[in-house]
Amino acid sequence: MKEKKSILIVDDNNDIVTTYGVVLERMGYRVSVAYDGNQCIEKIKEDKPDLVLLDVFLPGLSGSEVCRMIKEASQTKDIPVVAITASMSTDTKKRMTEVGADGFLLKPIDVTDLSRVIKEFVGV
Amino acid sequence: MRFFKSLKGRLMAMIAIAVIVTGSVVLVFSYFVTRSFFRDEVFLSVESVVSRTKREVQTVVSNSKDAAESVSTNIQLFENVGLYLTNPENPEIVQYIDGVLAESVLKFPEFDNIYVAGNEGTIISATSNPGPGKATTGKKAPEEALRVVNQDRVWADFGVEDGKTYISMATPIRLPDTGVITGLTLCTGFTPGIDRILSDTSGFGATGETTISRLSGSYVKTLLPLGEEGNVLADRLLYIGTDYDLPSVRAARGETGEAEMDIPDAGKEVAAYDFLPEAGWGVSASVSSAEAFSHLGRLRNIDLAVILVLLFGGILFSFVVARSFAKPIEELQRGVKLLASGRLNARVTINDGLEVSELADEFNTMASQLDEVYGTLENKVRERTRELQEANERLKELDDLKSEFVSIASHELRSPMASMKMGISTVAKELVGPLNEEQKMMLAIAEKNMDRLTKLTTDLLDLTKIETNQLDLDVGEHDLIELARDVVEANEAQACHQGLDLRVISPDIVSPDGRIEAICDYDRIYGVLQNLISNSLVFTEKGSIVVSIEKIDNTAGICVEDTGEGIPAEHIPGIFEKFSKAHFETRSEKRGAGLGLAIGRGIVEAHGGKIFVESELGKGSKFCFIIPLRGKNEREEVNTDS
Ligand SMILES: Nc1ncnc2c1ncn2[C@@H]1O[C@H](COP(=O)(O)OP(=O)(O)OP(=O)(O)O)[C@@H](O)[C@H]1O
Ligand SMILES: [Mg+2]
Repeated sequence: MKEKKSILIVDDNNDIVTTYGVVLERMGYRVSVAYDGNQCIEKIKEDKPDLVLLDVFLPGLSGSEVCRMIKEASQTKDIPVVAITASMSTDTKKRMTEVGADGFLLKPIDVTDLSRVIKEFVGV
Repeated sequence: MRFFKSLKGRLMAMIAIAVIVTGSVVLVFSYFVTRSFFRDEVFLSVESVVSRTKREVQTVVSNSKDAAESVSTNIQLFENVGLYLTNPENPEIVQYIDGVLAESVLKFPEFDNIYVAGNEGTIISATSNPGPGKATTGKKAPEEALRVVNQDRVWADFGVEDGKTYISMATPIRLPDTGVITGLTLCTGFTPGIDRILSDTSGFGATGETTISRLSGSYVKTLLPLGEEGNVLADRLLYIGTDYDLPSVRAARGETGEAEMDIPDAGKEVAAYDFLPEAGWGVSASVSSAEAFSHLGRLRNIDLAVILVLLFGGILFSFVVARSFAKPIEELQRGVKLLASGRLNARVTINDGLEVSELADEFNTMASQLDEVYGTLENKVRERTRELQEANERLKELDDLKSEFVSIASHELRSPMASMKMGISTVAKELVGPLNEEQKMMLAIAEKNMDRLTKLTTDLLDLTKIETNQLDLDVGEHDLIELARDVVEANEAQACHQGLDLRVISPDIVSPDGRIEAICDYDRIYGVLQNLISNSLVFTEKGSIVVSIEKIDNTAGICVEDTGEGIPAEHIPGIFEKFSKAHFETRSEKRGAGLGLAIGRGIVEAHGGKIFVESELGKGSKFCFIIPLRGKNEREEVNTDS
């Protein structure tokens, strides 16, 4: 049995983190959690995930900054990052694309959306 | 004086001064020239009267003298006088002389009476006709006459009798062979010629006076006309020792000339005087200066009148001229003033054909250009203003639309949320079947977020109402202490769960029955207090949350004081604005939207009250609001200082 793929959820809302966590574990992934940008960077260093679900609106370091940091570091730059936003304005999308986000999800997200995106970047 | 500082005033003054000064100088000059001519004229005329008088008197005198000499050189007379001197006792001789004299009087009608006196002066024979010159034999002839005659000269005298002039002529009687003077004859007679001469004042004037005078010892004897007509004559003796300087005196002394003299009791007179050597008489003529120069006086008056007329005429003339000059300029000035005051349609019409009218044309052109430019400018401004107004209206419409959108959206949101809420809560409470733990947890999260969404929707709707002034209060009389207790009670469980001490303090002294009645919307005030308490619950980790109520005059104050983390000073001023948040590090699911305080302020202000905060970072916060007890109309009594 091959090792479970790991997914890092970055969001400051505990309800979101909890529900996403439940869903992803059910789908057979290993889930780790970060409540802000700094935690996110630390977690990636500790245990390199296969996918980062990154909320754009974060306290402290902003989502785009976190994304740039991931994509600039040579060890982490190949980790796919999916940006989760509350507004799909072209401005946000452009900014996130610039810093190297690989995909986008618009809140609210349902299970189908989530599994489709994850399968695309990580596989089952 | 201001008038003379104006253009018109100055022009007027200049012209007036020029006219009046030139006119007056010419008049005064001509007056003096005329005066000097006139004086000469007056002197000449008086002089001519004197020379005429002298000539006429001379004729009369020489005629009389001739006649008198004829009498005294009568052969029968001097022979008989000679006889008489050698034989004075012979009465025949005297009779004979009497006869000669009577004959002579008849022969010379100019004489009325003649007498003969011896060389020692005694009258030998005399006629006694009516008229002047009657004498009595044996009496003496006048001494002066005797003395003159003895020097072989004629003595001429004059006098007045019955208002008429007479002349007396004394001539010597000589012996033809030896030339010895044996006596004299004295012929006297009225001389109407003299009367006529003296009364003739022709070319002379009413005050003109002609006199004949002669020196007699220390007296001057003067013959002069009396009365207005000059036809009554008088002879007058003046003692010259009394220093009388009169024309007649000067004439009697033999002086010749003319002068303006100051006559005692008569004033100034213009006089001329001359002398007749053969009679020893002076002739003088005088006229009062007042009369002689009366024309001059009249001339002077006319001149003064003309100067006066000039004065007024000059002022009038200068006014008219100055006006005609100043009027166009004033007109122009009026136009400029109007223009300056913003009346751009100001134009001036000046038709004097001079430079000023050219200036006026220039002004008009300038004014129309200005008018035009201003007109377009005004149009532009009007256009811009209209555009701005339109834009403003569009903005307002948009704003209204936005508010409308939010309220409709809020309403529209409620219906789907209602069914969601119903579904989630029914499943969560296992009313449709048992759930495993994971399911329960997921549904609890869903329900909690469902409630947040409901609250958010309600808050957005309330905020919209506040911002569009649509918040209507459902007011009634409510006990604020009870209200506070209700809110606290509703939050007790949560406080207890967090280990916080939540309580209400209201001093019992505030009101005897322990109530504070206020006219307010219960639900709204409840909401305000609820938000304050839930904020305190969120931001307080340990300690207490104390709700206190106070009554101050006609207002009630409610405060919520906690021992939480407080608010950073830089966030306090804007804390009551919508979406304002002072804490970001808190987990997102605990954070509100930042609408509670903004809504709270809106509600308190709608009640006519105030809301405010005191807070120190790390020590706690105290939020207070005050509302008038009697409703919004007592708002003015609320103030934050109390
Ligand atoms: N008692 C308090 N102690 C410390 N901070 C407070 C307190 N009350 C309010 N605040 C600060 O003020 C902000 C605004 O409060 P407000 O009630 O308007 O919004 P909210 O509570 O964040 O959201 P909402 O009330 O709309 O759910 C809060 O986010 C918090 O930062
Ligand atoms: Mg709040």
